Amino acid sequence: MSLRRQALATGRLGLRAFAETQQQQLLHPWQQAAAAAWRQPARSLQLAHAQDAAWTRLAMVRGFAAEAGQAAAASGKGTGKKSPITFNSMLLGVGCFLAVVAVAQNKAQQKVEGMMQRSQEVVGKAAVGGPFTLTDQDGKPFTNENLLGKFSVLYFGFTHCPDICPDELEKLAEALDTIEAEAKYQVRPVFISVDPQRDTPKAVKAYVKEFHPRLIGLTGSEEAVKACSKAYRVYFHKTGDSETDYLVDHSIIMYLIDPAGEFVTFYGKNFTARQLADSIMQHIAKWGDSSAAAQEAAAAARLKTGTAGSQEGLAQR
Amino acid sequence: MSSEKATTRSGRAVCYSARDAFYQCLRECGLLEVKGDIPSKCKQLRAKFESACLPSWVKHFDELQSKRARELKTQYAAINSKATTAAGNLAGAAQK
Repeated sequence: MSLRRQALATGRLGLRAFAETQQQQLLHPWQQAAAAAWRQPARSLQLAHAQDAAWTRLAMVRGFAAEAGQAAAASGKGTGKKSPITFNSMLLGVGCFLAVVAVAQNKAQQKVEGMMQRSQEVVGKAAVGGPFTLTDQDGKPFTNENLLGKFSVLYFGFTHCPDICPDELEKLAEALDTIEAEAKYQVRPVFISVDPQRDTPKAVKAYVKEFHPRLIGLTGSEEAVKACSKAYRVYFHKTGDSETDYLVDHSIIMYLIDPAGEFVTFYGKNFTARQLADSIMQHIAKWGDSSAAAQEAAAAARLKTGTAGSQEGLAQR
Repeated sequence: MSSEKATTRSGRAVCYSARDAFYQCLRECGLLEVKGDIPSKCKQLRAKFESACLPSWVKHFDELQSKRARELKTQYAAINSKATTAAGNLAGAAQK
C-alpha cells in the first residue's frame, strides 16, 4: 500500500498511530515478535515494568487509532466526506511554514544590514570634523563652508617644523599632481597651522607657496586654532624652553573631506604619495558613482541649513 | 632673521646638508650619536651645523640620532645573541 493510502486509512487521529505503525514496521523481526508476545516470563522486575509501561502505552494508542480508524472509515463511507488532513494539506502546511521562516529571516537580515550600514555612516561622520573659522594666507576668512564642493585634504603642522611637515607636504603635492594627471580632478589641499604665535598669514603664505600653487594655508588666533584642532581631534603641544624658538609636537595625519564637508578617512605618515593618490582617487570615483544630482541637492541643502551634518557631529560629542 | 633658515626650502636644505655632514663625520669616528665630547675632527662641522640650523632643530636632530642609535644597538645585540645561540653557527653552516 502506498504511504498516502496508509495515512488515509488510519483517519483523523491516524497521524500519530500512523507514525507508530511505521515505527513498528521498522523494528527488527525479533523485536516485532517480542512486541506481539509482550508478556514474557522471567524478566528483571525493573525491565519488566519499563517494557510493560511502554508497550501498554503503545497498545493504548494503537487501540484508539484502530477505533478512530474504524469510526472514520465508517463515517467516511456513510457521508462521503474526506479527512481534511491529506498528504497535500500536509505539504501545503509545511510549505507555508517554510515560507514564513524564509520571510522572517530575510527581514531580520535586512534589519541587521541596515543597522550596520547606519552605524558605519555615523562613525564616519560624527567622530571627526566640525565648524571652524580661520584666516587664509591672504588674510581672508576661511570656514568649514569653504571646504564644500570638492574633495579636500587637511594637514595640521607649523612652518618651523624641522623635517616632518616639509616631507608630508611634499608628499601631498606629489599626490595632488598625480590625481590631477590621472583622474583629472583638483583636490583642495589645506595646511592648518598649530603654531598661531609664530605663523602669521604672511609667514604661512611664504611657506605654502613653495610646496604647491594650490596649497591653502590657514592660521588664526590661539582660540580659533584650538577650536579647529579640537574639532578634528588633532593633538598638539608646544615643547622647548625658549619663547621664540620651540617645536610643536603634533599628530601627523592628513584628513580627507568629501565635497559635502564630511570627514571621509585619514592617512598616516606611513602612506606614500602613490598610495595617497590611489586611495583618494578611489574615494573620488565612489563619490562620482552616486547620482550627481542627489549629491548636488544634498550639498545645496547643507549650504542652506549651515552644515547641519557637522552640527550633528558636534552635538554627538 | 634666523626664521628664514627654518621656513624656506633653501634654508632647510642648507641645514640638512650641514646636519648630514656632521653625522657622517661622527660615524667615521665610530660614534652613532652625540654623547659627551665631540671628537676634534668633527668640531668644525658641529659649529657649521649649529649655525645653519635653529637650536631647537639641532636638539631635535640629536635626539633622533640617539633614538636611532638605541635601535641599532638593540638590533646588533639581537643578531649577536642569535649568532651564538642559534643551532648551527652562522659563520659556517650552509644555507638550507
